Amino acid sequence: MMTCAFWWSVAGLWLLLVWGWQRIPLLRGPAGFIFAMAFSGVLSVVPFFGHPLRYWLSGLTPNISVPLVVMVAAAIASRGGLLRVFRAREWSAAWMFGACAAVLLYPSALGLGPRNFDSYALGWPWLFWAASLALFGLVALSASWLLWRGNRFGWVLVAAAIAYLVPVQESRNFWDYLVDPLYAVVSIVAALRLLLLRWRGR
Amino acid sequence: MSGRDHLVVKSSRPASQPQRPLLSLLAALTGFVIVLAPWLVAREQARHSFPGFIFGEQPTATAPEPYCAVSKLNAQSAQQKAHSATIATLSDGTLAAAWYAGRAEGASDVTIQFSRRDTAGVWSEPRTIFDRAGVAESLRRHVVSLGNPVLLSGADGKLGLLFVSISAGKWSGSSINTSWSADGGTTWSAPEKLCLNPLANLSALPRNPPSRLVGGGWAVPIYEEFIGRYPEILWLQPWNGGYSAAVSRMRGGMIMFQPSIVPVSADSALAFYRDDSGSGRAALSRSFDSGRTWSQPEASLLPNFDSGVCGLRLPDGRLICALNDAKNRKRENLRLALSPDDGKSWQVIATLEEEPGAEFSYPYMIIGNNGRVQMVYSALGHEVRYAEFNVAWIDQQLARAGRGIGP
Repeated sequence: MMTCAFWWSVAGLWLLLVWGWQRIPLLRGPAGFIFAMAFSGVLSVVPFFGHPLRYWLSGLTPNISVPLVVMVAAAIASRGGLLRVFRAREWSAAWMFGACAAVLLYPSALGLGPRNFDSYALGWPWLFWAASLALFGLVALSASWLLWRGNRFGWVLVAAAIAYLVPVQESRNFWDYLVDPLYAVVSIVAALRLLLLRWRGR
Repeated sequence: MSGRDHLVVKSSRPASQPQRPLLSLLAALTGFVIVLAPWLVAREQARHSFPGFIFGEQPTATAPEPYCAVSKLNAQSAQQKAHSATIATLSDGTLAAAWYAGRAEGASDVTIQFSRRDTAGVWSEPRTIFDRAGVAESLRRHVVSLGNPVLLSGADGKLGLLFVSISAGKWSGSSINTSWSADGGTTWSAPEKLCLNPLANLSALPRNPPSRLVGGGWAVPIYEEFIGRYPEILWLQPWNGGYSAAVSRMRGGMIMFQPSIVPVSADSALAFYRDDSGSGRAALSRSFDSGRTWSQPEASLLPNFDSGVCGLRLPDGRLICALNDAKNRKRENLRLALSPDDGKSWQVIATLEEEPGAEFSYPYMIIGNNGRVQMVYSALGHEVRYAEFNVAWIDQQLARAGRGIGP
C-alpha cells in the first residue's frame, strides 16, 4: 500500500537528487533542470545494487523533516529560476532553527547530559503531556515570532505541525517533523558560519 | 542551498517592525495556534498514558506434585545459531514460541522461527515466519539481518510480534518492527517499522517479556545499543483501531541494559538489568508510578556477569530470576534464584543447565494458563530449549538448596 509516508520519502529523495544535479554547472538552465527532475525520478525507483535508491536511504533515514524538504524545494525553485520563496532572512532562520533543534535533541538522544532524560520523548505529546508543552510551546513561539517579523520560515514550522497532524511520515514523534540528521549537520555548519560572519561584521 | 546569497545577514528593512502590523499579528496568532494544535489534540490520549499494570490475573498453581520438564524446540534444525527465544500464552491457553535462527548473529540468512504447542503438549515443527528479503520488501528499505523477537499476547485474542531488522552494521543499526496475527500465528500481517529514535531510527531492541497494561496495551522493556547502552520502555497503547508507540527512558544509562520488568502491584514494578560495568551482579531498580519513573539501578545480591537475566513473579507473590552465575564469567550454567521479599534477599535454588564449555543464555519466562512457569532459553549456541515447572517443584528445590544470599 502506497501510504502518505511512502510518497513523502519518495518526494524527499527526489528533491534531494534534483538539488544535487543542479549543482553541476552543465545542468543549469531549463533543459538541465528538466533532465535533473526526470533522471532523479528514475534513480528514485530503479534498483541499484538490488534495491531502489529510496530503499537504501530509508534504511538509514526514514523521516526527512519538513524544513529540509521545503528548503530543498525552495533552493531548487530559486536555482531553476522559477520562484524565490526564501530570502536571506528565511535561510538564516532555517539554519538557526535547525542548529538549535539539533543541539536540543541529539546529545540527549545519544545519552549526553542527564541520563534518565531523553528530549526525544517530548515529541510524543500523549506520553508526557505536560512536559511536551516545552517542545510544542517553544516551536509555537518561534513560529509566531518569525511570522510577526514577516519571516516565511515561520510558515514552514506551521507546515511541520500540519504534517504531524496528517501524519505524512512513518514517525509519530514531532521532533522528526522538525529536524533530521542531514538538516541538523548542515544547519550547525551554516549557523556557525552565520555567527562568524555577524561577529566579523561588528 | 548554502550559496553566498543565503548567508546575507542583514535584510533591507528593520525586521522588528512589521510593515502591516495587523496582518502580521494575525499570522503570528494563527501560527501559534496551529503549532500548538497537536499538543492540544493529544490531551485525550494522554489521559491513558501510564495506566498501570494488569496485576493479580495470574492463574494459581493446582498440581501439588513437583513438575519440571525440559525439551528442545528446534531438535531437527541444522542452523548454526538459534537465539533470543520468546514465549507467549495464546487466547486458547496453548503456547507459542519464536526465536531467530541462521548462520550467525547478524547474518543475512537469519529468519524468525515460530512454533506452537498444541493442547496435547506437542510443539509443532518450527517454521519461518519472516526472512530478510520479505521484511525488506514489506518495509521498502534495505535490511541486513533480523533478530530479537518478542511475542505479545493480547486480551483481544490477537498475537503480536516485535522483532528487529538491522539496516546497517550490527545490533546498533537495528530498529523494531511489529506484526500481528489473528489466527494464533498461522498468518501474519506485513511488518511495520516503529520509529523510536531520532538518529536515523537506529538502535532499539526488545529482549524480555512485555507487561500487560490496563486498557489493553503493553509496557515492553527495550534497550538502545548505539554509542551507549540504555534501558527503556516501549509503551504500546491501543489507539484509533491500532497501537500508538512511544518510548520512555529508564535510569542506568551507559551500563545497564536488557531490562526485565516485573509488576509487583498495579502501579509498582521491579526491573532487573544486565550490568555492563563489571560489577559481577545483576542490578535492580523500582518504579512506584506505573513505570513512569524508575529509581537508580543498584547492584543486587544476584551474581551475574554481563549476561541476560529474566525476572518473574510467581502466582504466590514470590519472585524468581533466571540467570547465569558461572564464576569464570562464561555462560556455562543457567540457574534460578528465588526471593520471598520483593527482591531484598535471594536464594539460588536450582540449576537448570550446567556444562563446562557450553553456553546457556537469554532466559525468557512467563506464567502459563496452567499456573506453571513457561521458560525458553538458548542452549549450546544452536538450540532453543523449553522448560516447564511448577511452584511445587520450586518449593522442592528450595528445601534442597543451601543458605540464601541476603541481608
